Amino acid sequence: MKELKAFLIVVLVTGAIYWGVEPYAHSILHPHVEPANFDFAKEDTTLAKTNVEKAEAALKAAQTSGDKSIIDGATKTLENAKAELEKYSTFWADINSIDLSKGDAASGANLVAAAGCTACHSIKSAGFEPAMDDKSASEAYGVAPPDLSNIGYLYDGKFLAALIKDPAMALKVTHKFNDTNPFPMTAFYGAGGDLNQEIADLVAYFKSIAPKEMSDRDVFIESCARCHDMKYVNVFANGNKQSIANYLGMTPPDLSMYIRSRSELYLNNFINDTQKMLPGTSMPRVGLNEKAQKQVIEYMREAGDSKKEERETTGIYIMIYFAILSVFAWAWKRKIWSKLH
Amino acid sequence: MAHITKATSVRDWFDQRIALTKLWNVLAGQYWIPKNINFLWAMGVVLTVLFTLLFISGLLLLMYYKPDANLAFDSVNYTIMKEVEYGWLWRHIHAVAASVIFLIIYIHAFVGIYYGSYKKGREMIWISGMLLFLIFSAEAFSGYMLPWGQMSYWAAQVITQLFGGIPFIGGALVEWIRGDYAVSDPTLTRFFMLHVCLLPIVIIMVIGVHFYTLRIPHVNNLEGEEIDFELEAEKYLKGDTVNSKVIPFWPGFLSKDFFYVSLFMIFFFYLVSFHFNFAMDPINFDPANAAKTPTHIYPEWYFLWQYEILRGFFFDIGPLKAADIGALAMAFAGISLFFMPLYDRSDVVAPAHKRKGFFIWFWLLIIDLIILTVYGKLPPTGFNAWIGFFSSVGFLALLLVVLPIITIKERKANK
Repeated sequence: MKELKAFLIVVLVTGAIYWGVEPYAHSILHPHVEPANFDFAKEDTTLAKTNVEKAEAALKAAQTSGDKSIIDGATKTLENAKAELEKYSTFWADINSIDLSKGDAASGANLVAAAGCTACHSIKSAGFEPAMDDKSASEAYGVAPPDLSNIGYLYDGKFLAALIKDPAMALKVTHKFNDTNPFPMTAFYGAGGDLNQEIADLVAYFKSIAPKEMSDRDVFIESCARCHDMKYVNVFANGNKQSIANYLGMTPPDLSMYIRSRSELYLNNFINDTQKMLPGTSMPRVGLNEKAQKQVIEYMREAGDSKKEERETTGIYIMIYFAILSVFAWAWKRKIWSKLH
Repeated sequence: MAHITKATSVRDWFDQRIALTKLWNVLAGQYWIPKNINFLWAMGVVLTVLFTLLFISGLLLLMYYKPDANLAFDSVNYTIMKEVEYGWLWRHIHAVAASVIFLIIYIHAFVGIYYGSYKKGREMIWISGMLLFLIFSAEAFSGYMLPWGQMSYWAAQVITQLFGGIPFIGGALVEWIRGDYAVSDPTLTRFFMLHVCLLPIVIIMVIGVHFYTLRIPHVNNLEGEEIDFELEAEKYLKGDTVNSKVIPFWPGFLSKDFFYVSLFMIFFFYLVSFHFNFAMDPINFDPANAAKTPTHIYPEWYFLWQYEILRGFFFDIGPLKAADIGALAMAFAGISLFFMPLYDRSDVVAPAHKRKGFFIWFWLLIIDLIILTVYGKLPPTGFNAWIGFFSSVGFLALLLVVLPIITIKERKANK
C-alpha cells in the first residue's frame, strides 16, 4: 500500500510537469483559432470580425499606455480591420447572389473559348493544350497557371465563382496585389451578357468536365506542387524556381516533413485560410473543398510519416510481449522472495 | 602465480585462472542490498536498461547517420525514417529514451534527496551521480544537435553563445567551441564526435565509478536505518534468510527489478509507438535555417528549469548586466545539487516525512522546479517574467539559505 502511495505521488508530479510543458504551454504559445470552415463566406467574415475585436482590444490597451504613436498605430490597425470586414462582407454577399443552380455547362464551354481563359490556362481533358511549357509559363506569370481540367473536383462551386469573379479576393492576396502590382490572373469581366449568369455557366462547365475521383498524389500535385516541392515522394514544383521565389518573395518550403513540423490541425486550418494562421503571408489561400483537403493532408502524411501503421501494430506487439514478461517476472519474484520474507 | 591444478569442471578451470566465483560474489551473489526498499530503488536498474537501449539504438543509427550539415537532416528524416527497415523504431527508441532517461534521473536523484541518501558516508555516491547527470546533460545537448533541425540549430546557437559571457576569453571561447563564427558544419562534426565517442566513454567510466561508490557505504533504505551489513550478511549466509535485513543483489534485488523494468517497458514502448512526439519539438522537423529565427526558442523539457533560471534575472542590478547574472545563476544551478551534502548541516539520515522542516523544504523545492520548468517554456514577457524571477531567486534561496538554516536547527534540537 505504501509503495502504491509513493507511486501515485511520482505519477502526480510527472503528470503535473507534463501537463504544464505540453498541453498548457501549447495552448499559450498557439492560441486557439476557429476550426477550418469550408463555407468560405463564413470563414472570411468570422476571421475579419475576430480581427476587428482584437484590434479594438489592442486599441483599448494602447489608450491606457498614453503613448500617442502607439495609439495612432492601433487606431490605424482597427480602421484597416474594419475596412477588411466591410470588403469581405460585400464580396461574399455579391458571390452569394449568384445562382449556381441556373448554370448551363454548354454555354460555359463556349464562354471558356470566348472569354480567353485558354490564353493562359490549359484544359487538357477538353483538348486545350498549354500555350507554353511550365517553365516558360512560370517565367512569364511568376508561377505556371493551373490546368483547369480538375478544378471542378478540387473546389466547391461557390469558391470557384468567387475565384473567377475576383481571384485576389478569393485567394486572400489583396495585401500583396493591387492596381500597381496586379495579380497575374485578371478578374473575369464577362463576355457581354449577365456577368453573374456567365460565372454560373462557367462553374457548371468546370463541374461537368471534372473527374469523379482523383488520387491523393494528383490532388496534392494540382493543389500544392506549382510552388512547393515534396522531395521525399519525388514531387517537385513544375516551374522555374527563381521565378516562383521572386513571385512569392521567398522560396516556398519543401513540404516533406510538414505533417510533423506543423501538425495535422495546423495544416488543416492553414490550407483553408492562410491569413488566419500566418497573417501577411504571400501564400494564397488554397480554397480546396473538404474532401480534396483531406486528400492533400493524407498525402503529406504518406510523405512525412509513412511508417505510422507499422509503428502502431509493431508497438502493440512489443507492449504485449512486455505484459507477458511482467507476469513471468512477477512469478519469479514471488518464488525468490518466498524464502526472504 | 597461483597454484594451478587439473580442473575438475569448466567452472573450476575458469575459477583457477580468473576467479569467476569470487567476481560473481562481489558483483552480485554477495553484494548486499537492504531488504527494506521499494520500487523507487529500482530506478538505478531502469537507468542502466535505458542507457543500454540508448547505446544500442545509437550504434544502429550511426550506420546511416551522416554528420554533414547538408546531409544530416535527410539522413535522419528520410534514410532512417523511411528507407531503413525498422529505422523508425531505432530512432524513436533513441529519442524517447533520451528524454525519459532524464525523467528517471530526476526521480532517482530526488529519491536520494528525500531519503537523505547523499550524506553521512554516502557523499561519493551522490557526487558521482551528479557528475553523471552533468555529463548526461552534455551528451543530450550534443545529440540534440545532430538531426540539424531548426531547434537543434538555434538551441546550439543560444547555448554556445552563453560562453561568450565569460570575461576576457568569452568571444574566443565561443569561436573555439563552434569551430566557426556561427554554428555550422564544423560545429556539427565536433558535436558528433562528442556525442558518439568522447562523452559515451566518459559516461561508461563514471557509471563504473558510481557503482563502485556503493560498495563501502551500501545503499540507503526506506527508514534510513544504519545496518551492519557484515553481520546481516553472515545471518543470510547461515541460512537465516527471513530474519536477515539484507538480500543479495542477485537474485533477491534483481528479481524485483526485473518485474519493475518489464512494467516500465510497456509504458516506454507505448511512448515509442503512439506518443513519440512528446519528446520531439515539432519545429525540429524543419531543416536548420540560419536565416530564419524560430518565434520561440526553448530547450527540451528537462533543461527548462535551468533555462528559466538563465532568463529569470531580466533586469540589471547595479553594475551587473541582466544577462551576466542569469548566466551565473544558471551555471550555479547546473552544479548546485553537487553540494547537497554541504547545505544539509544535520546528521539525521531519515526519510523526509520524519524530518518536518526538511519535508516542507523538499516539497517547496519540487513545486519551485515545476514552476521553473513550465515557465521556462512560456514567453518571458510581463507577468511571466516576474514569476521566472521569483522562482529563480526561490531556487537559490531554498538551497543556499533555507536548507542550511533548517538543518542547523534540526541538529541543535537533536542535541
